[in-house]
Amino acid sequence: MVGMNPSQSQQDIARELFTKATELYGTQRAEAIRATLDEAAEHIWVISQNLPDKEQEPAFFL
Amino acid sequence: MAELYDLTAAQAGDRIRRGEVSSVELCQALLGRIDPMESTLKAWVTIDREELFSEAKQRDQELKEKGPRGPLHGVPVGLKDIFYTAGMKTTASSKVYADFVPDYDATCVARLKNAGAIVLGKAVTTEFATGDPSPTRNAWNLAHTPGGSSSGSSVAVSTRMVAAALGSQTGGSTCRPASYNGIVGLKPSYGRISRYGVIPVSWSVDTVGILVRTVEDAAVMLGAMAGHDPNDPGSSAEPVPDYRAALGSLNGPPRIGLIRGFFLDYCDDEVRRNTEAAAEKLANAGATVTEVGLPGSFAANYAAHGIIQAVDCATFHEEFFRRQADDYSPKLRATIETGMLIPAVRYMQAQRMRRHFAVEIAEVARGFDALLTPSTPAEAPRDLNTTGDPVFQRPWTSSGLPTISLPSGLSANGLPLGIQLEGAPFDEAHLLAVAAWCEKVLDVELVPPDSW
Repeated sequence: MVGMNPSQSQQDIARELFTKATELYGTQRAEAIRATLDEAAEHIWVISQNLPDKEQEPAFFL
Repeated sequence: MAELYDLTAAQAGDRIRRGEVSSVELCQALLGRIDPMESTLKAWVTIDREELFSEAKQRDQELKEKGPRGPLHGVPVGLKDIFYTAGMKTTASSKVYADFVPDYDATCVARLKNAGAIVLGKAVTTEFATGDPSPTRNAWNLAHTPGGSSSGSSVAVSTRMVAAALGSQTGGSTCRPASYNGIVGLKPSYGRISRYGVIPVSWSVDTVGILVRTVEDAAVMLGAMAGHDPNDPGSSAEPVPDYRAALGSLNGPPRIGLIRGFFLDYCDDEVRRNTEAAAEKLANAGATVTEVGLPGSFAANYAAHGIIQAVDCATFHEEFFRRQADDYSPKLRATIETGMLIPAVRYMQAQRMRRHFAVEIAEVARGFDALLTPSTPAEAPRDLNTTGDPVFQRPWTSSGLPTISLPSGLSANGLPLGIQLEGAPFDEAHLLAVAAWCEKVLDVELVPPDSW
């Protein structure tokens, strides 16, 4: 699953997202949204490296 | 005497209540202002003149017979075209909602009407209040973006087409265009104003915003709309003070926390000089200005905000998108397609991270009367393919803290610059009081060139 392996690099996550995008939307669309996929990969990677304390509950409505 | 279209919302409301001007006369003045500029600036989607004058006449009659409804009696306001208006199209400037006519008013619209306001019209938004630029032009220079997503509302207020308008903020969509257009933008605390009947981008962070020319008008508009709404699960039951009365409530010059870290590193030299000059002017007037650092969770929260916004957006649009993907503009389409690929566990971690940051940054804010940053990293970009960079708004939208952008000068290119004040959660009364003090000290009123 995308970004679930803690040793994955940002580039690994980007590749994984691109593969999934290709499966779902086709190569042309995956290429068209590559910049957004790369940005999401960065975000997913940052989150995987900065997990909050285990006591921390999520916010939905603050 | 100033032209009627120059009146602020508070001034217009006061003069209407005193019988010095009628709502009909004010509407005529504003339409006379809009007509010669609109073909160039493209700030409006819908103006129903018949309905407008019908409402204005009704308010004028009601004033004579029963007295004013509230502080905005007879005052026209603009609404970003994502706010439901009963019987009036609400398009979100999109093909998907092109023919959508709601059968009820958004709660905040209903509350504005209860305070006496009338709807002048629906202002242009970027498509579904996201990142694809709208056709609206910056009134200070047509070659520069007006910002987004509340582009029409901001330009309409800046050019005196209307004194007050509603916007919204998911990333930086109220305070950024406010700054780019030289006006005041208020993003209240998350949950302070109901979002019921507002087309969402991200339920987790969407906040109704206010675009006006003075801090007093921000207080009047907030006072008319704030308060709990059982129809909005994110709505807060925090009590609503009298924001207008609180404007003069400071006991002395404020204690301001200047955030240089990240903000003054990321912005350009001109913005840095403008912000430092504003801080110095406030200090010379008696404010205690102290540099303050950011909490450790600040940097990673940017990533959390991006993930949350993309997934929430994809979730809302899923059903429409299955049927009408080709009707979406490129940036929004890419956001939806990407949001659909993000794992639920990463989304939940982002929400946990956001709460952690919200708690940490609220503690920082509580240590001062207000925090101070620039509103934007640079003047409005000379590029109509972008709405500018929301990077200086995102932390406050994400954490739900109230923020207000004030005009603070002009760039060398003659474009507006702004400073942003941030306050503690649900302490808008105090933030507005600090903002009113700063507004008076800075003494910057920006009027765009009147040549459209």
